[in-house]
Amino acid sequence: MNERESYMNYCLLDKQWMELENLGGNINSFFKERNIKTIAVYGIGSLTNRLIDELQEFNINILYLISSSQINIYKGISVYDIDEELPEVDIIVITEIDNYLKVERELCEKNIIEVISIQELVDKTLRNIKKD
Amino acid sequence: MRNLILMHLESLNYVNYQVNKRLFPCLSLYESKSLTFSNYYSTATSTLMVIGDMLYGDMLQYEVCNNLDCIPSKYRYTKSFFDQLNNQGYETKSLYFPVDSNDCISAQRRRIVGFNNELKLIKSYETYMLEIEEVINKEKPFALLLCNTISNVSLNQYLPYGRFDSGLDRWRYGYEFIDKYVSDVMGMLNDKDLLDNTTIIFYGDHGDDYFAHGNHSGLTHAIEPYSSLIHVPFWIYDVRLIEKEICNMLLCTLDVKTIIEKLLKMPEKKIYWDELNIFPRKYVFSRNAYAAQPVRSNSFNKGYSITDGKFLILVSNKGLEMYDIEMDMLCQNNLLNFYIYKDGILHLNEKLNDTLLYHYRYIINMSSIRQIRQVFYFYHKRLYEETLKLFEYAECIEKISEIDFKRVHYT
Repeated sequence: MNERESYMNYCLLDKQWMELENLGGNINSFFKERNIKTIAVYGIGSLTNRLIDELQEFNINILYLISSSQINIYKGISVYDIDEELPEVDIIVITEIDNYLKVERELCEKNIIEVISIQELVDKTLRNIKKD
Repeated sequence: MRNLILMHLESLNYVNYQVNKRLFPCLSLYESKSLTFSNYYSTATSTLMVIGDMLYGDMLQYEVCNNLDCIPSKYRYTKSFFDQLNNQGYETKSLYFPVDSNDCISAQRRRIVGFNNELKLIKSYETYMLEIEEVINKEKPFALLLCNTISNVSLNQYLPYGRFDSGLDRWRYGYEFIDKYVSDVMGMLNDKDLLDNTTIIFYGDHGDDYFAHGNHSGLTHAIEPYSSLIHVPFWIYDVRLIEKEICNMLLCTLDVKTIIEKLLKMPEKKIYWDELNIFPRKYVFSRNAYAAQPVRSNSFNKGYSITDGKFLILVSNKGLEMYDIEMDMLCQNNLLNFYIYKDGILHLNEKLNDTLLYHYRYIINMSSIRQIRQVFYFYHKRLYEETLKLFEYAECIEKISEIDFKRVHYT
Protein backbone atom coordinates (compact mmCIF):
# COMPACT_ATOMS: atom_id res chain seq x y z
CA MET A 1 0.00 0.00 0.00
CA ASN A 2 1.49 3.36 -0.98
CA GLU A 3 1.38 6.53 1.09
CA ARG A 4 -1.56 7.97 -0.78
CA GLU A 5 -3.66 4.80 -0.43
CA SER A 6 -2.81 4.67 3.23
CA TYR A 7 -3.88 8.28 3.72
CA MET A 8 -7.12 7.66 1.81
CA ASN A 9 -7.89 4.65 3.99
CA TYR A 10 -7.26 6.68 7.09
CA CYS A 11 -9.58 9.45 5.85
CA LEU A 12 -12.32 6.94 5.03
CA LEU A 13 -12.04 5.37 8.46
CA ASP A 14 -12.17 8.78 10.13
CA LYS A 15 -15.23 9.73 8.11
CA GLN A 16 -17.02 6.47 8.95
CA TRP A 17 -16.18 6.71 12.64
CA MET A 18 -17.54 10.28 12.74
CA GLU A 19 -20.66 9.23 10.86
CA LEU A 20 -21.16 6.46 13.38
CA GLU A 21 -20.93 8.94 16.23
CA ASN A 22 -23.27 11.36 14.49
CA LEU A 23 -25.84 8.61 14.15
CA GLY A 24 -25.62 8.06 17.89
CA GLY A 25 -23.75 4.76 17.55
CA ASN A 26 -20.49 3.51 18.93
CA ILE A 27 -18.21 0.54 18.48
CA ASN A 28 -19.19 -0.74 21.90
CA SER A 29 -22.24 -2.34 20.29
CA PHE A 30 -19.97 -4.70 18.28
CA PHE A 31 -18.37 -6.06 21.45
CA LYS A 32 -21.61 -6.12 23.40
CA GLU A 33 -23.56 -8.03 20.76
CA ARG A 34 -20.75 -10.56 20.36
CA ASN A 35 -20.37 -10.89 24.14
CA ILE A 36 -16.71 -9.95 23.85
CA LYS A 37 -15.26 -9.26 27.25
CA THR A 38 -11.51 -9.18 26.79
CA ILE A 39 -9.71 -7.19 24.12
CA ALA A 40 -6.15 -6.59 23.06
CA VAL A 41 -5.08 -3.91 20.61
CA TYR A 42 -2.23 -4.21 18.11
CA GLY A 43 -0.50 -0.91 17.42
CA ILE A 44 0.20 2.30 19.24
CA GLY A 45 -0.80 5.65 17.81
CA SER A 46 -3.66 8.04 17.33
CA LEU A 47 -6.19 5.34 16.35
CA THR A 48 -5.31 3.30 19.41
CA ASN A 49 -5.73 6.40 21.59
CA ARG A 50 -9.15 7.01 20.12
CA LEU A 51 -10.13 3.36 20.61
CA ILE A 52 -8.91 3.34 24.22
CA ASP A 53 -10.86 6.52 25.00
CA GLU A 54 -14.04 5.21 23.45
CA LEU A 55 -13.86 1.81 25.09
CA GLN A 56 -13.05 3.28 28.49
CA GLU A 57 -16.20 5.35 28.22
CA PHE A 58 -18.13 2.08 28.14
CA ASN A 59 -16.06 0.38 30.82
CA ILE A 60 -14.61 -2.15 28.35
CA ASN A 61 -11.19 -3.24 29.44
CA ILE A 62 -8.33 -3.45 27.04
CA LEU A 63 -6.22 -6.17 28.59
CA TYR A 64 -3.01 -5.30 26.81
CA LEU A 65 -1.47 -3.70 23.75
CA ILE A 66 0.86 -5.34 21.24
CA SER A 67 3.69 -3.35 19.76
CA SER A 68 7.33 -3.65 18.82
CA SER A 69 8.02 -0.22 20.32
CA GLN A 70 9.82 -1.78 23.31
CA ILE A 71 7.80 0.17 25.87
CA ASN A 72 6.22 -1.72 28.74
CA ILE A 73 3.25 0.46 29.60
CA TYR A 74 1.20 2.79 27.42
CA LYS A 75 -1.62 4.87 28.86
CA GLY A 76 -1.57 2.60 31.90
CA ILE A 77 -1.94 -0.57 29.77
CA SER A 78 0.70 -3.33 29.54
CA VAL A 79 2.44 -3.64 26.20
CA TYR A 80 3.55 -7.01 24.78
CA ASP A 81 5.84 -7.73 21.90
CA ILE A 82 4.28 -9.88 19.15
CA ASP A 83 6.87 -12.59 19.78
CA GLU A 84 5.94 -12.94 23.43
CA GLU A 85 3.34 -15.43 24.58
CA LEU A 86 0.13 -13.43 24.50
CA PRO A 87 -2.48 -13.84 27.24
CA GLU A 88 -5.83 -15.18 26.04
CA VAL A 89 -8.36 -12.59 24.92
CA ASP A 90 -11.62 -12.74 22.98
CA ILE A 91 -10.39 -10.54 20.14
CA ILE A 92 -7.42 -8.50 18.97
CA VAL A 93 -8.13 -5.22 17.20
CA ILE A 94 -5.44 -4.11 14.77
CA THR A 95 -5.15 -0.33 14.47
CA GLU A 96 -2.29 -0.37 11.98
CA ILE A 97 -3.90 0.41 8.68
CA ASP A 98 -1.03 -0.30 6.35
CA ASN A 99 0.05 -3.79 7.29
CA TYR A 100 -3.17 -5.42 8.38
CA LEU A 101 -2.87 -8.63 6.36
CA LYS A 102 0.72 -9.26 7.40
CA VAL A 103 0.07 -8.55 11.07
CA GLU A 104 -3.03 -10.71 10.98
CA ARG A 105 -1.05 -13.63 9.60
CA GLU A 106 1.68 -13.20 12.16
CA LEU A 107 -0.80 -13.16 15.04
CA CYS A 108 -2.92 -16.02 13.73
CA GLU A 109 -0.03 -18.33 12.95
CA LYS A 110 0.78 -18.35 16.64
CA ASN A 111 -2.62 -18.20 18.28
CA ILE A 112 -6.13 -19.46 17.75
CA ILE A 113 -7.62 -16.03 18.06
CA GLU A 114 -10.03 -13.75 16.28
CA VAL A 115 -8.37 -10.68 14.85
CA ILE A 116 -10.16 -7.68 13.32
CA SER A 117 -8.99 -4.46 11.74
CA ILE A 118 -10.22 -1.18 13.13
CA GLN A 119 -11.63 -0.40 9.68
CA GLU A 120 -13.79 -3.52 9.59
CA LEU A 121 -14.90 -2.94 13.15
CA VAL A 122 -16.09 0.62 12.42
CA ASP A 123 -17.51 -0.29 9.01
CA LYS A 124 -19.53 -3.20 10.39
CA THR A 125 -20.90 -1.22 13.29
CA LEU A 126 -21.88 1.63 10.98
CA ARG A 127 -23.63 -0.73 8.54
CA ASN A 128 -25.62 -2.28 11.36
CA ILE A 129 -26.64 1.10 12.75
CA LYS A 130 -27.82 2.13 9.28
CA LYS A 131 -29.81 -1.12 8.96
CA ASP A 132 -31.57 -0.41 12.28
CA MET B 1 -8.78 -58.17 35.29
CA ARG B 2 -11.26 -56.98 32.67
CA ASN B 3 -11.33 -58.41 29.19
CA LEU B 4 -10.86 -56.27 26.13
CA ILE B 5 -12.12 -56.40 22.57
CA LEU B 6 -11.14 -54.01 19.81
CA MET B 7 -14.02 -54.34 17.38
CA HIS B 8 -12.84 -53.16 13.99
CA LEU B 9 -15.54 -51.67 11.75
CA GLU B 10 -14.08 -51.87 8.28
CA SER B 11 -14.54 -49.05 5.77
CA LEU B 12 -17.25 -47.39 7.79
CA ASN B 13 -17.29 -43.64 8.14
CA TYR B 14 -19.37 -41.57 10.52
CA VAL B 15 -21.83 -40.28 7.94
CA ASN B 16 -22.49 -43.69 6.36
CA TYR B 17 -23.09 -45.20 9.76
CA GLN B 18 -25.44 -42.41 10.88
CA VAL B 19 -27.40 -42.25 7.63
CA ASN B 20 -27.71 -46.02 7.11
CA LYS B 21 -28.59 -47.12 10.61
CA ARG B 22 -31.16 -49.53 9.22
CA LEU B 23 -28.23 -51.68 8.09
CA PHE B 24 -26.87 -51.78 11.62
CA PRO B 25 -29.58 -52.82 14.10
CA CYS B 26 -27.14 -54.67 16.35
CA LEU B 27 -24.44 -52.01 16.25
CA SER B 28 -27.06 -49.34 16.97
CA LEU B 29 -28.33 -51.32 19.92
CA TYR B 30 -24.91 -51.64 21.52
CA GLU B 31 -24.04 -48.06 20.63
CA SER B 32 -27.11 -46.94 22.58
CA LYS B 33 -25.68 -48.76 25.61
CA SER B 34 -22.25 -47.23 25.12
CA LEU B 35 -20.43 -43.95 25.44
CA THR B 36 -20.30 -42.57 21.88
CA PHE B 37 -17.81 -40.05 20.54
CA SER B 38 -19.04 -37.92 17.66
CA ASN B 39 -15.66 -36.30 17.01
CA TYR B 40 -13.34 -39.24 16.58
CA TYR B 41 -10.90 -39.21 13.65
CA SER B 42 -8.55 -41.81 12.23
CA THR B 43 -4.92 -40.88 11.78
CA ALA B 44 -4.71 -42.81 8.51
CA THR B 45 -6.86 -43.84 5.57
CA SER B 46 -6.02 -47.53 5.24
CA THR B 47 -6.60 -50.44 7.61
CA LEU B 48 -3.06 -51.53 8.43
CA MET B 49 -1.79 -47.99 8.94
CA VAL B 50 -4.63 -47.41 11.41
CA ILE B 51 -3.93 -50.66 13.28
CA GLY B 52 -0.23 -49.79 13.56
CA ASP B 53 -1.01 -46.28 14.86
CA MET B 54 -3.50 -47.63 17.36
CA LEU B 55 -1.41 -50.44 18.80
CA TYR B 56 1.77 -48.39 19.09
CA GLY B 57 -0.09 -45.23 20.15
CA ASP B 58 2.02 -43.18 17.78
CA MET B 59 2.37 -42.43 14.08
CA LEU B 60 6.11 -42.88 13.75
CA GLN B 61 6.54 -46.66 13.86
CA TYR B 62 6.31 -47.22 10.11
CA GLU B 63 7.10 -43.80 8.63
CA VAL B 64 10.39 -45.14 7.25
CA CYS B 65 8.53 -47.66 5.07
CA ASN B 66 8.38 -46.94 1.37
CA ASN B 67 5.38 -49.21 0.84
CA LEU B 68 2.85 -51.15 2.91
CA ASP B 69 4.83 -54.40 2.53
CA CYS B 70 8.09 -52.88 3.66
CA ILE B 71 9.74 -54.03 6.89
CA PRO B 72 11.09 -50.94 8.68
CA SER B 73 14.85 -50.53 8.82
CA LYS B 74 14.38 -49.28 12.36
CA TYR B 75 11.51 -49.58 14.81
CA ARG B 76 10.66 -46.65 17.04
CA TYR B 77 8.95 -48.98 19.55
CA THR B 78 9.79 -52.56 20.41
CA LYS B 79 6.55 -53.27 22.23
CA SER B 80 2.99 -52.87 21.03
CA PHE B 81 0.04 -52.31 23.29
CA PHE B 82 -0.89 -55.98 22.84
CA ASP B 83 2.67 -56.98 23.83
CA GLN B 84 2.19 -54.97 27.01
CA LEU B 85 -1.11 -56.68 27.72
CA ASN B 86 0.55 -60.02 27.11
CA ASN B 87 3.16 -59.21 29.74
CA GLN B 88 0.40 -58.27 32.14
CA GLY B 89 -1.06 -61.76 31.89
CA TYR B 90 -3.62 -61.30 29.14
CA GLU B 91 -4.31 -63.93 26.53
CA THR B 92 -4.02 -61.81 23.39
CA LYS B 93 -5.13 -62.64 19.89
CA SER B 94 -5.44 -60.58 16.71
CA LEU B 95 -7.62 -61.97 13.96
CA TYR B 96 -7.97 -60.81 10.38
CA PHE B 97 -10.59 -62.13 8.01
CA PRO B 98 -10.73 -62.66 5.02
CA VAL B 99 -7.24 -62.99 3.57
CA ASP B 100 -6.70 -61.23 0.31
CA SER B 101 -3.78 -58.95 -0.41
CA ASN B 102 -0.03 -59.20 0.13
CA ASP B 103 -0.33 -56.23 2.48
CA CYS B 104 -2.08 -58.25 5.16
CA ILE B 105 0.26 -61.22 4.62
CA SER B 106 3.30 -59.01 5.17
CA ALA B 107 1.66 -57.33 8.17
CA GLN B 108 2.95 -60.13 10.37
CA ARG B 109 6.54 -59.69 9.21
CA ARG B 110 6.15 -56.00 9.88
CA ARG B 111 5.09 -56.66 13.50
CA ILE B 112 1.92 -54.70 12.93
CA VAL B 113 0.28 -55.99 16.12
CA GLY B 114 3.47 -56.47 18.10
CA PHE B 115 6.71 -58.34 18.56
CA ASN B 116 5.17 -61.09 20.65
CA ASN B 117 1.83 -61.05 18.90
CA GLU B 118 0.75 -62.40 15.59
CA LEU B 119 -1.87 -61.09 13.21
CA LYS B 120 -3.65 -64.33 12.44
CA LEU B 121 -5.03 -64.42 8.94
CA ILE B 122 -8.21 -66.47 8.69
CA LYS B 123 -9.76 -67.71 5.49
CA SER B 124 -13.22 -68.77 6.63
CA TYR B 125 -15.79 -67.08 8.80
CA GLU B 126 -16.45 -70.31 10.74
CA THR B 127 -12.77 -70.62 11.67
CA TYR B 128 -12.69 -66.95 12.61
CA MET B 129 -15.58 -67.41 15.04
CA LEU B 130 -14.03 -70.62 16.43
CA GLU B 131 -10.78 -68.73 17.08
CA ILE B 132 -12.71 -66.14 19.09
CA GLU B 133 -14.54 -68.84 21.00
CA GLU B 134 -11.30 -70.60 21.83
CA VAL B 135 -9.92 -67.47 23.52
CA ILE B 136 -12.99 -66.56 25.50
CA ASN B 137 -13.39 -70.12 26.72
CA LYS B 138 -10.04 -69.99 28.50
CA GLU B 139 -10.11 -69.13 32.18
CA LYS B 140 -7.85 -66.18 31.57
CA PRO B 141 -8.40 -62.47 30.89
CA PHE B 142 -8.28 -61.86 27.17
CA ALA B 143 -7.59 -59.04 24.75
CA LEU B 144 -8.83 -59.49 21.20
CA LEU B 145 -8.32 -57.44 18.07
CA LEU B 146 -11.12 -58.49 15.76
CA CYS B 147 -10.75 -57.36 12.17
CA ASN B 148 -13.53 -58.66 10.02
CA THR B 149 -12.83 -56.65 6.90
CA ILE B 150 -15.59 -58.07 4.72
CA SER B 151 -17.23 -54.65 4.39
CA ASN B 152 -14.20 -53.44 2.45
CA VAL B 153 -15.48 -53.00 -1.13
CA SER B 154 -12.74 -55.22 -2.49
CA LEU B 155 -13.38 -57.99 0.06
CA ASN B 156 -17.17 -58.37 -0.03
CA GLN B 157 -16.59 -60.94 -2.78
CA TYR B 158 -15.91 -63.36 0.11
CA LEU B 159 -19.46 -63.01 1.38
CA PRO B 160 -21.32 -66.32 1.24
CA TYR B 161 -24.02 -64.75 -0.90
CA GLY B 162 -24.67 -62.07 -3.52
CA ARG B 163 -21.85 -63.03 -5.85
CA PHE B 164 -23.97 -62.42 -8.93
CA ASP B 165 -25.31 -59.10 -7.65
CA SER B 166 -24.05 -55.65 -8.46
CA GLY B 167 -21.13 -54.11 -6.61
CA LEU B 168 -23.50 -51.40 -5.40
CA ASP B 169 -25.72 -53.97 -3.71
CA ARG B 170 -22.78 -55.95 -2.37
CA TRP B 171 -21.59 -52.74 -0.72
CA ARG B 172 -24.74 -52.91 1.39
CA TYR B 173 -24.43 -56.65 2.05
CA GLY B 174 -20.93 -56.09 3.43
CA TYR B 175 -22.23 -53.79 6.14
CA GLU B 176 -25.20 -56.02 6.87
CA PHE B 177 -22.81 -58.90 7.34
CA ILE B 178 -20.68 -56.85 9.75
CA ASP B 179 -23.78 -56.17 11.80
CA LYS B 180 -24.66 -59.87 11.84
CA TYR B 181 -21.11 -60.73 12.82
CA VAL B 182 -21.12 -58.22 15.71
CA SER B 183 -24.40 -59.79 16.79
CA ASP B 184 -22.71 -63.24 16.72
CA VAL B 185 -19.77 -62.06 18.84
CA MET B 186 -21.92 -60.18 21.34
CA GLY B 187 -24.23 -63.19 21.56
CA MET B 188 -21.24 -65.40 22.29
CA LEU B 189 -20.08 -63.08 25.07
CA ASN B 190 -23.59 -62.92 26.48
CA ASP B 191 -23.90 -66.71 26.48
CA LYS B 192 -20.65 -66.97 28.44
CA ASP B 193 -21.79 -64.22 30.78
CA LEU B 194 -18.80 -62.07 29.80
CA LEU B 195 -20.49 -58.86 28.65
CA ASP B 196 -20.27 -57.12 32.02
CA ASN B 197 -16.61 -57.96 32.42
CA THR B 198 -15.48 -56.95 28.94
CA THR B 199 -14.62 -53.49 27.63
CA ILE B 200 -15.40 -53.31 23.93
CA ILE B 201 -14.03 -50.54 21.74
CA PHE B 202 -15.94 -50.14 18.49
CA TYR B 203 -13.95 -48.15 15.98
CA GLY B 204 -14.21 -47.37 12.28
CA ASP B 205 -10.80 -47.63 10.65
CA HIS B 206 -11.47 -45.37 7.66
CA GLY B 207 -14.25 -44.44 5.31
CA ASP B 208 -14.46 -44.43 1.55
CA ASP B 209 -14.68 -41.72 -1.06
CA TYR B 210 -16.64 -42.78 -4.10
CA PHE B 211 -14.59 -40.80 -6.59
CA ALA B 212 -15.93 -37.43 -5.48
CA HIS B 213 -12.39 -36.08 -5.17
CA GLY B 214 -11.06 -37.61 -8.37
CA ASN B 215 -10.77 -41.15 -9.65
CA HIS B 216 -7.50 -41.97 -7.89
CA SER B 217 -7.07 -44.75 -10.48
CA GLY B 218 -10.02 -46.49 -8.86
CA LEU B 219 -9.10 -46.27 -5.17
CA THR B 220 -11.89 -45.52 -2.70
CA HIS B 221 -9.60 -45.27 0.31
CA ALA B 222 -5.88 -44.95 1.03
CA ILE B 223 -6.35 -41.58 -0.63
CA GLU B 224 -5.98 -38.09 0.85
CA PRO B 225 -7.44 -37.76 4.36
CA TYR B 226 -10.73 -35.97 3.65
CA SER B 227 -13.35 -36.19 6.41
CA SER B 228 -15.19 -38.97 4.55
CA LEU B 229 -12.01 -41.02 5.03
CA ILE B 230 -11.08 -40.13 8.60
CA HIS B 231 -14.25 -39.16 10.46
CA VAL B 232 -15.37 -42.55 11.72
CA PRO B 233 -17.60 -44.05 14.41
CA PHE B 234 -16.15 -44.71 17.83
CA TRP B 235 -17.81 -45.88 20.99
CA ILE B 236 -16.96 -47.69 24.18
CA TYR B 237 -19.12 -50.42 25.58
CA ASP B 238 -18.26 -50.77 29.25
CA VAL B 239 -21.05 -51.33 31.74
CA ARG B 240 -19.16 -49.33 34.37
CA LEU B 241 -19.37 -46.10 32.37
CA ILE B 242 -22.22 -44.02 33.69
CA GLU B 243 -22.72 -41.55 30.83
CA LYS B 244 -24.47 -43.33 28.01
CA GLU B 245 -24.69 -40.34 25.75
CA ILE B 246 -22.77 -38.64 23.00
CA CYS B 247 -19.50 -36.97 23.90
CA ASN B 248 -18.14 -34.42 21.42
CA MET B 249 -14.58 -34.42 22.71
CA LEU B 250 -12.02 -34.51 19.91
CA LEU B 251 -10.25 -37.89 19.85
CA CYS B 252 -8.16 -39.88 17.41
CA THR B 253 -6.60 -43.30 16.83
CA LEU B 254 -3.58 -42.39 18.96
CA ASP B 255 -5.80 -41.89 22.02
CA VAL B 256 -7.26 -45.41 21.99
CA LYS B 257 -4.29 -46.99 23.76
CA THR B 258 -4.35 -44.44 26.61
CA ILE B 259 -8.12 -44.71 26.99
CA ILE B 260 -7.93 -48.49 27.27
CA GLU B 261 -4.98 -48.43 29.65
CA LYS B 262 -6.92 -46.13 31.95
CA LEU B 263 -10.17 -48.07 31.63
CA LEU B 264 -8.50 -51.39 32.42
CA LYS B 265 -7.02 -49.92 35.59
CA MET B 266 -10.33 -48.53 36.85
CA PRO B 267 -11.99 -50.33 39.76
CA GLU B 268 -15.04 -52.51 39.15
CA LYS B 269 -17.60 -49.86 40.08
CA LYS B 270 -19.56 -47.18 38.26
CA ILE B 271 -17.28 -44.60 36.69
CA TYR B 272 -17.68 -41.26 34.97
CA TRP B 273 -15.77 -40.55 31.75
CA ASP B 274 -14.20 -37.48 33.36
CA GLU B 275 -12.52 -39.72 35.93
CA LEU B 276 -10.25 -41.04 33.17
CA ASN B 277 -8.72 -37.57 32.75
CA ILE B 278 -8.29 -37.87 29.01
CA PHE B 279 -6.63 -34.69 27.85
CA PRO B 280 -8.72 -33.03 25.11
CA ARG B 281 -6.95 -32.62 21.79
CA LYS B 282 -6.75 -29.29 20.02
CA TYR B 283 -6.51 -30.99 16.65
CA VAL B 284 -6.08 -34.34 14.92
CA PHE B 285 -3.41 -34.91 12.30
CA SER B 286 -3.88 -37.62 9.65
CA ARG B 287 -2.16 -38.91 6.54
CA ASN B 288 -2.65 -41.46 3.78
CA ALA B 289 0.94 -42.57 3.20
CA TYR B 290 4.15 -43.01 5.12
CA ALA B 291 6.74 -40.25 4.79
CA ALA B 292 9.11 -42.52 2.88
CA GLN B 293 6.47 -43.63 0.38
CA PRO B 294 6.69 -42.11 -3.08
CA VAL B 295 3.99 -39.90 -4.54
CA ARG B 296 2.03 -41.73 -7.16
CA SER B 297 0.15 -38.86 -8.65
CA ASN B 298 -3.57 -39.37 -9.29
CA SER B 299 -3.70 -42.73 -7.50
CA PHE B 300 -1.78 -42.60 -4.25
CA ASN B 301 -1.51 -38.84 -3.98
CA LYS B 302 0.29 -38.12 -0.74
CA GLY B 303 -1.82 -36.05 1.61
CA TYR B 304 -1.87 -34.75 5.16
CA SER B 305 -4.74 -33.12 6.98
CA ILE B 306 -5.40 -31.44 10.26
CA THR B 307 -8.79 -30.90 11.85
CA ASP B 308 -10.23 -29.37 14.97
CA GLY B 309 -13.61 -30.98 14.25
CA LYS B 310 -14.93 -27.77 12.66
CA PHE B 311 -12.38 -27.05 9.94
CA LEU B 312 -10.16 -29.43 8.01
CA ILE B 313 -7.04 -28.19 6.21
CA LEU B 314 -5.51 -30.62 3.76
CA VAL B 315 -2.25 -30.52 1.86
CA SER B 316 -1.05 -32.94 -0.79
CA ASN B 317 1.22 -33.04 -3.79
CA LYS B 318 -1.60 -31.14 -5.50
CA GLY B 319 -1.70 -28.26 -3.04
CA LEU B 320 -3.84 -26.87 -0.23
CA GLU B 321 -7.53 -27.34 0.50
CA MET B 322 -9.72 -26.23 3.38
CA TYR B 323 -13.21 -27.33 4.39
CA ASP B 324 -15.80 -26.49 7.00
CA ILE B 325 -16.61 -30.09 7.89
CA GLU B 326 -19.36 -29.18 10.32
CA MET B 327 -21.36 -27.70 7.45
CA ASP B 328 -19.80 -29.62 4.58
CA MET B 329 -19.30 -33.11 6.04
CA LEU B 330 -17.94 -34.71 2.89
CA CYS B 331 -15.48 -31.95 1.94
CA GLN B 332 -17.27 -30.85 -1.20
CA ASN B 333 -16.44 -27.16 -1.19
CA ASN B 334 -12.82 -26.12 -0.92
CA LEU B 335 -13.03 -22.77 0.87
CA LEU B 336 -9.67 -21.78 -0.58
CA ASN B 337 -11.30 -21.68 -4.03
CA PHE B 338 -12.40 -18.16 -3.07
CA TYR B 339 -8.85 -16.97 -2.45
CA ILE B 340 -5.54 -16.35 -4.09
CA TYR B 341 -2.61 -17.49 -1.96
CA LYS B 342 0.41 -15.31 -2.60
CA ASP B 343 3.55 -14.77 -0.53
CA GLY B 344 1.99 -16.54 2.43
CA ILE B 345 -1.09 -14.32 2.48
CA LEU B 346 -4.61 -15.32 1.51
CA HIS B 347 -6.19 -12.62 -0.64
CA LEU B 348 -9.86 -12.80 -1.46
CA ASN B 349 -10.36 -13.45 -5.16
CA GLU B 350 -12.30 -10.21 -5.69
CA LYS B 351 -13.11 -11.02 -9.29
CA LEU B 352 -14.78 -14.30 -8.36
CA ASN B 353 -16.34 -12.85 -5.24
CA ASP B 354 -18.04 -10.11 -7.26
CA THR B 355 -19.69 -12.66 -9.53
CA LEU B 356 -21.19 -14.74 -6.75
CA LEU B 357 -24.54 -13.55 -5.48
CA TYR B 358 -27.61 -14.99 -3.76
CA HIS B 359 -26.90 -17.39 -0.89
CA TYR B 360 -23.13 -17.09 -1.26
CA ARG B 361 -23.07 -13.56 0.10
CA TYR B 362 -24.81 -14.63 3.28
CA ILE B 363 -22.42 -17.48 3.94
CA ILE B 364 -19.20 -15.95 2.73
CA ASN B 365 -19.65 -12.54 4.30
CA MET B 366 -16.93 -10.23 5.58
CA SER B 367 -16.60 -12.14 8.85
CA SER B 368 -16.31 -15.51 7.10
CA ILE B 369 -13.66 -14.19 4.75
CA ARG B 370 -11.62 -13.10 7.75
CA GLN B 371 -12.37 -16.27 9.76
CA ILE B 372 -11.25 -18.58 6.94
CA ARG B 373 -7.99 -16.65 6.59
CA GLN B 374 -7.25 -16.69 10.29
CA VAL B 375 -8.07 -20.36 10.85
CA PHE B 376 -6.05 -21.23 7.76
CA TYR B 377 -2.93 -19.44 9.04
CA PHE B 378 -3.03 -21.23 12.38
CA TYR B 379 -3.57 -24.72 11.00
CA HIS B 380 -1.38 -24.30 7.96
CA LYS B 381 1.55 -23.77 10.33
CA ARG B 382 0.60 -26.75 12.54
CA LEU B 383 0.05 -28.93 9.48
CA TYR B 384 3.52 -28.12 8.20
CA GLU B 385 5.14 -28.73 11.60
CA GLU B 386 3.38 -32.08 12.09
CA THR B 387 4.24 -33.23 8.57
CA LEU B 388 7.85 -32.16 9.02
CA LYS B 389 8.14 -34.29 12.18
CA LEU B 390 7.26 -37.42 10.18
CA PHE B 391 9.72 -36.66 7.41
CA GLU B 392 12.45 -35.86 9.91
CA TYR B 393 11.90 -39.14 11.72
CA ALA B 394 11.91 -41.05 8.42
CA GLU B 395 15.13 -39.26 7.44
CA CYS B 396 13.72 -38.20 4.10
CA ILE B 397 13.29 -34.52 4.71
CA GLU B 398 14.01 -33.73 1.05
CA LYS B 399 10.76 -35.47 0.11
CA ILE B 400 8.64 -32.89 1.94
CA SER B 401 9.10 -30.61 -1.07
CA GLU B 402 6.75 -32.99 -2.95
CA ILE B 403 3.97 -31.78 -0.70
CA ASP B 404 2.79 -28.40 -1.93
CA PHE B 405 2.25 -26.11 1.04
CA LYS B 406 2.46 -22.98 -1.11
CA ARG B 407 -0.28 -23.42 -3.68
CA VAL B 408 -4.05 -23.80 -3.54
CA HIS B 409 -5.44 -26.95 -5.14
CA TYR B 410 -8.43 -25.40 -6.88
CA THR B 411 -11.16 -27.98 -7.04
